[in-house]
Amino acid sequence: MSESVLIIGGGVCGIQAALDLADKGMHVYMVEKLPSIGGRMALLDKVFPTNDCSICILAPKMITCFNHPNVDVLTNAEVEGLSGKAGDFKVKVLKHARHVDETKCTGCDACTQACVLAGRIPDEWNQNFGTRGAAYIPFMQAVPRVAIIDEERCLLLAKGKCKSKCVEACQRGAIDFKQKDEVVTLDAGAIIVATGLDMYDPTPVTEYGYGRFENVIHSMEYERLINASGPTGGHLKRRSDGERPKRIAYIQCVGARDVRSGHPYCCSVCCMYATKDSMLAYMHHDDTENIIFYTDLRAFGRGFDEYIRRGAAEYGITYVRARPGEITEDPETKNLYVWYDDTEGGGVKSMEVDMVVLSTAFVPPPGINALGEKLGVKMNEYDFFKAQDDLLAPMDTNVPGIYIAGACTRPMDVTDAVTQGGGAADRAAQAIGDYAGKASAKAGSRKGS
Amino acid sequence: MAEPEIVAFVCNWCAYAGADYAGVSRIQYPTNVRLVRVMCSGRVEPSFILKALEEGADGVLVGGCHEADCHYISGNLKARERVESTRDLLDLLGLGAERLRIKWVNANEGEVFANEIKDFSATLKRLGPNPLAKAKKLGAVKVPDVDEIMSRTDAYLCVECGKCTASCPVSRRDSEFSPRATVEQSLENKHSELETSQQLWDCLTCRTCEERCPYNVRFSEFIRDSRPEARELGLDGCPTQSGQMYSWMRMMAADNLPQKRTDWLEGLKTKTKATAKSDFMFFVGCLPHFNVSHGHISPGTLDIARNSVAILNALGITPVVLPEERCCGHDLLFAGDPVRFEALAKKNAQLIKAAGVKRIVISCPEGYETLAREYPRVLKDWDVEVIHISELLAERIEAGKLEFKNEVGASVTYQDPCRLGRYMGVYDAPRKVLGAIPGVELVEMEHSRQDAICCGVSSWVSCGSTAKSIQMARLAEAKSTGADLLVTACPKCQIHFRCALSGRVPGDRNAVDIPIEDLTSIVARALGVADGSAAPAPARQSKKAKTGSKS
Repeated sequence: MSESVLIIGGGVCGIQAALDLADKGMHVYMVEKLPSIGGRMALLDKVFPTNDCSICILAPKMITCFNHPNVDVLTNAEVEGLSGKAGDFKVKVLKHARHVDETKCTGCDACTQACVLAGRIPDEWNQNFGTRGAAYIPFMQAVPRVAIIDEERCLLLAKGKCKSKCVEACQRGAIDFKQKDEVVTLDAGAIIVATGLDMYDPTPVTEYGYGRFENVIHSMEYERLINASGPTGGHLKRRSDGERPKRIAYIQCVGARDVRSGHPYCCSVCCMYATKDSMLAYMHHDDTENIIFYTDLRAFGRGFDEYIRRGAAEYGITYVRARPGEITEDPETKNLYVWYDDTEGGGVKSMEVDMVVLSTAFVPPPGINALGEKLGVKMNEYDFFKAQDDLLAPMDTNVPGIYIAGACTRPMDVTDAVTQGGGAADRAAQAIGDYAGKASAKAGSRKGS
Repeated sequence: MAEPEIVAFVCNWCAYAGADYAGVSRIQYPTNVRLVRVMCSGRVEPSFILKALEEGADGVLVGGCHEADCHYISGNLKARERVESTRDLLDLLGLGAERLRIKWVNANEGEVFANEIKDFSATLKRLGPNPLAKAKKLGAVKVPDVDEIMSRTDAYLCVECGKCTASCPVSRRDSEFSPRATVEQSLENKHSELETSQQLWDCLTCRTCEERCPYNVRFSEFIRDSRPEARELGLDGCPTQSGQMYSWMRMMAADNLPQKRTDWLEGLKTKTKATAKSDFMFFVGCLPHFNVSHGHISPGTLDIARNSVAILNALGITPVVLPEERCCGHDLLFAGDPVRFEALAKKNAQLIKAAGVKRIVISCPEGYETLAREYPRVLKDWDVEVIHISELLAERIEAGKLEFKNEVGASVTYQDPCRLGRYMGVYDAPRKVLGAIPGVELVEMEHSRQDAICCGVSSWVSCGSTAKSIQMARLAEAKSTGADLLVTACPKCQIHFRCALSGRVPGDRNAVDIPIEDLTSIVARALGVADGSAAPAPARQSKKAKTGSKS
């Protein structure tokens, strides 16, 4: 019998669940696959429909969660296996070696600057726009703000040969190349799965030329480019020449509402985030023209429709009802031509733009099926976790004691993810209360007899 | 035999007047001649002749003015060329060249006309009646129900986003044509408007739209299956060469027409061996026929057949080549004639089974798609494996069983045929084959693989300014790669591109002029088994200058 709750995934949804439980006095384990918690939201610039700075509202929650006396956060860790049952789960967690002693590191960046590969490895946290070394801190507001050494890239770990300048640079002696992966077994009474989402990789949509044309980027790349803490310091620049794009086209539903991509569902956020992206470009430079090519405008949340209307009226966003058929490139200027069928005006047209942003879909993250198998939780037809009842038990699964929340159940925005995180926390707390009650009742009846 | 029926196309100025003169002069000649007066014998297209024979005429006579007498300068000479090539076609079809004649008759040569008819009648009597007159009549087209077509092709799922239209090479040039609007029209219960529109025939069925449609609406199939109804209404768009290909393809559906289509096998450089019974067959398709019907543009399709057999021999395969083989039916199926398509499929299946064939290799992507995908749909017991020659070659290369002897020093670009690429998903095999030829450097065009642009015409319909514009754009793309050679794996692509370059071209010829060759030709050269005539069609620009600059 354990009264701890294990939360898989340290994004905004998992953090909300953890804080709700911890503030109630319950103990929480949080297992995060990546070296920092924060998830997808930590990388966004602003969030709709309020245009709040994303990290500004998330960072305090990340820190509170990490430092909460009732929360134990295991980063760089994955769930390996599960046994037991509700009230008494045994969770096997593989904690990957960080090669940096978390208790010693102060996040001073000395090792990341000393690393001989510094500036030579594409930085996936910045969507490969910036670079990092083999020793690095994922991003400025990372929690924990502790360095990590990339095992696959580190010359010493991968090839056995390096001057190990990082060791020299670290005044605290935190670097530990001997650190090994570690398997720990955690006791938990209930589990919340909040593994979040992945963004659709638009490479297979060859007609849009992603990967072929330098100035075709996807929305996550856009977020990092327009982000003040991103690789360009928030200056929107074209990959081809570093110029500021003055005319930007956004193509909606890339990889969503598309049976060919395997994601026939609506990703439910791209109408809103493209509008937000357009507003941001306009806020940075009000001579920027933004054109959103949409299939249907699905602005269904509170304040959403008003947001879109504001986008058109105050930020000059042009909404065109068309799914473009193809993008071609001017080989000289690297400008792009968006070919579309103007379904309202009529006729095939092409529009010359400086940059195209593909509004890519939310898709289930890689490895979600394997996790589902380990937990015994069923998946739905689109490889999201399947709720026991979409209407009446949206956070429950087929396994008693295991709850799901956030974008691992279906595509959703921050508001919904936070709401679900809170909901799942409550379901987990109730469950543990029930089991504890049953256990004590049992113990009591035994005593009485 | 009763008097043979002769249809005589006679020119207004000479031959008709000659026949008239025979009449007023009371000159006796057989009465079963039906005169069709045309302004000039040059007006007589092969399709007229074929149509007459298809409908059961025993012989066709084309009558015109004597040489140098033509009232339109050279119409009669053109007529002679056409008649000569049509005679070749009649040989291939098994009807025999003797059923077609051309005769110069002056306005005062009543005697000559009468004698010609007498002589022709005697010849036709000797030949016996036209077998097509007695051919079993095929049933009427069973027009598929619109609702059935729409649900089968997922047209009901369309959200009218216009991605199809924005992708369509035709829509980009012809604002009247829009796959999105077409589906929308049918969703609004106005399918009959589509049936009577030219747009129904303007679709290339190239599947570019389908490749990109987010809801997988099979627009090409939707169009294909909407065409039979239009054909029932007597509409057929605007067929190329006024439909002569359809005529001879329909003729082949007759059961009792003995084909004579394998003469080309004689005299191959590599001592070609083909056989009548084996488990491996080379399906020739209409290659010999296209060589005749498109002789004016040197289509090089017979080279494809000869080189294919030579390649197979070089691989140690002695394939079955059936003298009685029929057209695969692809073009009739896509032109709204599913009944004859099925008749052709059945006839071919029967012949192929009788030869004990287990595996068919084919060089034409349309035939490939038809035999591999459409035959199983309409035939109950079709279990023959069908592969494209590029796949067979790639298979051998991968297994390390094929090496090319000759170096072919050329940089080439490759045109993905719609049927091979988007229909059958074969993109890698031809590239693997080209990549394995020593000295060949493959450069891709801007649009390649699933995004490749169609050669502009499909199933012999709607070859107009839109088609030409598509062809020019595609050729310009090929040319701008800097490649020496445009290789395609489809005889139709080759015909369409060569045709586009055969006349005057809009703008700068140098921007589009590139030699075009079939994959089999370059492979045969690399294997050292190429037929003498298989050299690529020379580009108009000086080849010498080019090689000079390269060396």
